[in-house]
Amino acid sequence: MSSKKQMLHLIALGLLAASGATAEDTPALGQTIPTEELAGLSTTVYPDGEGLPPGGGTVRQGKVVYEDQCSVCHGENGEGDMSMYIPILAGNGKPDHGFHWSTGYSWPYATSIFEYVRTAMPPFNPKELSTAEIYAVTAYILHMNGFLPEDGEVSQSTLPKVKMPAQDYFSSKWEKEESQH
Amino acid sequence: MTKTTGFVGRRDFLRAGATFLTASSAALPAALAATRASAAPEFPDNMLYPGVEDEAYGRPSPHEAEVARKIFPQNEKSTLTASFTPLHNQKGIITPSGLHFGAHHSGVPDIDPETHELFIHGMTDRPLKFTTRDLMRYPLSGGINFLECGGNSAPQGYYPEAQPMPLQYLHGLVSGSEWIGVPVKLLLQEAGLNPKAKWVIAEGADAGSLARSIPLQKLMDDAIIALYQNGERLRPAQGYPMRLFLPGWEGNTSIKWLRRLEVTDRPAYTREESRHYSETLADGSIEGFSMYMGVKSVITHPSAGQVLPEKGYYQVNGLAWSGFGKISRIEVSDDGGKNWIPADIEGPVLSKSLTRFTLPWRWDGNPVRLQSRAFDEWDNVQPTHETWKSRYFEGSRNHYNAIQTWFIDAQGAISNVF
Ligand code: HEC
Repeated sequence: MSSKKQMLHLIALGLLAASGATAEDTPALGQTIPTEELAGLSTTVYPDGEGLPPGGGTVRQGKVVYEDQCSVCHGENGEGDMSMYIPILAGNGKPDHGFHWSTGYSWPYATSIFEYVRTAMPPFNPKELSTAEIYAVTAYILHMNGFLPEDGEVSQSTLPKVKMPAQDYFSSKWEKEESQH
Repeated sequence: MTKTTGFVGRRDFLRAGATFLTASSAALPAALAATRASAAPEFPDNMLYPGVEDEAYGRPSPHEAEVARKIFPQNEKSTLTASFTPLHNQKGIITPSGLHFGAHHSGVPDIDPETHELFIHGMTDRPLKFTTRDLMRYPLSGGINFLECGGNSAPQGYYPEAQPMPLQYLHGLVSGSEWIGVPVKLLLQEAGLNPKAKWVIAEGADAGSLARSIPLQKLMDDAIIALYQNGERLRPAQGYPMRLFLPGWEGNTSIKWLRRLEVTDRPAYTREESRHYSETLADGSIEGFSMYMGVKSVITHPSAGQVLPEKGYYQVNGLAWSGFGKISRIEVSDDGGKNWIPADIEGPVLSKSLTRFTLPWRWDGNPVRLQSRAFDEWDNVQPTHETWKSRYFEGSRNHYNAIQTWFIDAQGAISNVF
């Protein structure tokens, strides 16, 4: 482990050197991004909810979206199909095999589900769902995992508060190593 | 000392070489006599007729058509694909760009460099955008580095039994190239970093907007926005017109078709870093953000999928690499790890790069277990399969870097074993 520590020190030194350097030896061609362009640029959603758009959706609405647009691949109950490389969305705890994690029990934050569905799902026609549909189907995925009741819902303010079980057993190797110096 | 391995020691080898010479010079007069016996010399057609004109963009010989990647295709429900580098055909530390591995979650987009822009925003003094043309005018730097998918060698980690797969499928998600581009720190400095900035969300312009949270430290260190690979502009499958390139880090973090760098103070926990590129540890917990690719090596010849036609001399060939820095030593064993012989390192030893090793070897025709293990300049050493497995939960498949064992049976057939 000491070797990694040494290496991180080097990176830290590199960082100092880099911040001492100036951007003078560049043509400095960056154009300021106009405010109106900046507004719609980021689709990133953070665990604390930054980046979530206003809105919300219910488990019941989400069931309709899910059955209409997702279950053909992810299965009626989110069981996925690893033979087709389709992830398991819903489980009932930790799996007995590391390849069989469900989204529900391996992702530490529910906000990431919103972000991913918004940008990448369904894979052949992404970025077509409305904000309301994304909230609703996110709620339904959480419901399939048993984290929300049938009459539950999520919104811009409540989605970051959903406690995912993996928060208790997910750690960052980077943070662990970084904290060593 | 009794000879316990088939590796030809320096002195032994010279002697063996001399034997070869004697044998071949003894054979020479007969061969010459045979040539002289025929009347007029016969020339092959290629020495009688001028060849075709060269092509504007050259291609490999049609006789080398089998040297190709193996493609794990999309299916009607998934856009995920992987293309595996034919490492068994590669000699040297550079993988031809057309043979470089790929792992694409949403296909390979076709991007017009004239309209593509790179946005840098978030916790910066100024949100800035750059065109591809702009970036071409910046100071360029980079180097020869390996790139390895976090899921390379996954079948070794995933399956309880060693799979009957060739080298290409087992370890072909690693390649080596010269990557040249704009140091990311120059652009971040131009935008002006907020002192609280610690992470950057890097996002691609593919259909799935693939994104990863990258520690700012790496971006201020040796990260580049790669524009060139092996002397030419990036291939579409490698991120044309620009990709992030993070030497030594898991491939997925080197975001292709780079579109956005959002400067922030915390990670976003995107899909890729939540489950897909995280590991399940032995205790059942999940570890994410495992950025470095560990020290690793593999013998590419002889390797699974090949057959040794007869006993006798073979040059063992292989590649070693470490995400932490330079390879310091490579050792080879032909007795399942009892004796380890230092291999010869051939060519340049570069930081975070494929490093080529060789060793002269005589196969005596008996079944053997052939292995290589690499060490890096930080004294990291490749673990055995058993040690690697003991760290992870059954079925955890990413970041497999254990010693590969090739079993050569009495017929010379080579297979993957644990
Ligand atoms: C055509 C098949 C298909 C459809 C339809 C589909 N998905 Fe997916 N989904 C996939 C595949 C394949 C992946 C894995 C993608 C990859 O490996 O990059 C995936 C991944 C996911 C993930 C990430 C899971 C994880 O743990 O990594 C979520 C969440 C998800 N899909 C939600 C949805 C939702 C919600 C819908 C409906 C709006 C949907 N999907 C529709 C095929 C599909």
